[in-house]
Amino acid sequence: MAERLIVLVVVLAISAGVGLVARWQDGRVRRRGFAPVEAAASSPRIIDVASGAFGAVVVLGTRACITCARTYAVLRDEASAAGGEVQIEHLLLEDRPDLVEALGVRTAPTVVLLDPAGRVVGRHNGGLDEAGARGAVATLIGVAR
Amino acid sequence: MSATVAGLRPPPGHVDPRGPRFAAVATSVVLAAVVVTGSVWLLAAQVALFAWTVIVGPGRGPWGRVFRALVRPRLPPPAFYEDAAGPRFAQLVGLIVTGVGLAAAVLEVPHAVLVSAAVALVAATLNGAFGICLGCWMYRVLLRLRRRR
Repeated sequence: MAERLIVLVVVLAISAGVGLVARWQDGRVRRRGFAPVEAAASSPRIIDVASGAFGAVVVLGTRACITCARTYAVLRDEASAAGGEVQIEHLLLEDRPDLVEALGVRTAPTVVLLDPAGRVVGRHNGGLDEAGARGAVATLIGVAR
Repeated sequence: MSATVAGLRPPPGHVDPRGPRFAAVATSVVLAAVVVTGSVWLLAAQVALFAWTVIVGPGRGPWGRVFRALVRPRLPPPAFYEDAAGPRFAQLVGLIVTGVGLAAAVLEVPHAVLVSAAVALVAATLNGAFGICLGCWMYRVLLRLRRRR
């Protein structure tokens, strides 16, 4: 019985260790923030940004990606709290395989920032928490102003 | 303010993401009991629970029903619904791991119950405690590999 309890403790310790390392790495990705991308005329057409919007944040995700849906939901909240002038979209890479090659997407989600002309001005590989989403929205508002 | 999805019922093929996580916590408790007691019957019960969920889907599996009846009414609507395919595949992986352990135990392979329950317990606690679904990750990798072919 004692041996089995030791096994249980070891198993739970392994889970806790793996989980904490995964969270720490996730945090590292978030802390990197948005890499600015030189707006290029040759940027692929991702979406048409709504007229009057400061720009758009596009979550490039996949159907089975939980983090993608969560990132989209958090972004929607933050955009709404900031006045709703930033468009938030969630595109499924299954439906837009052209973007995988054109943007070199290697991670789901990949979050891209588009200026009002629809050109890519920022990019982040990985999911976003509230702070990251606020940063994305604020970045676009800052670029537009 | 939190984003919510319209309506209380998830669209077809989707589940409230908190349901599979609740199931993972419940599964962790069962598997921890298997590790501590070494009971083949308890492992067999868990194999049956995995099989049931794989057949009917995570939303209508046993823990999914408990979540819908007792837990979800006390929670606000979810921010999003999740494609059920990933959690279903994760249940299949759990079924394979514990099923192999059960078969090995029946064939009197030493420590079969303990090893299979311990492996499944790592995955279940990762999902329940940290929201890291290893089976869902495997599902995404397999989808990507299939698309490349």
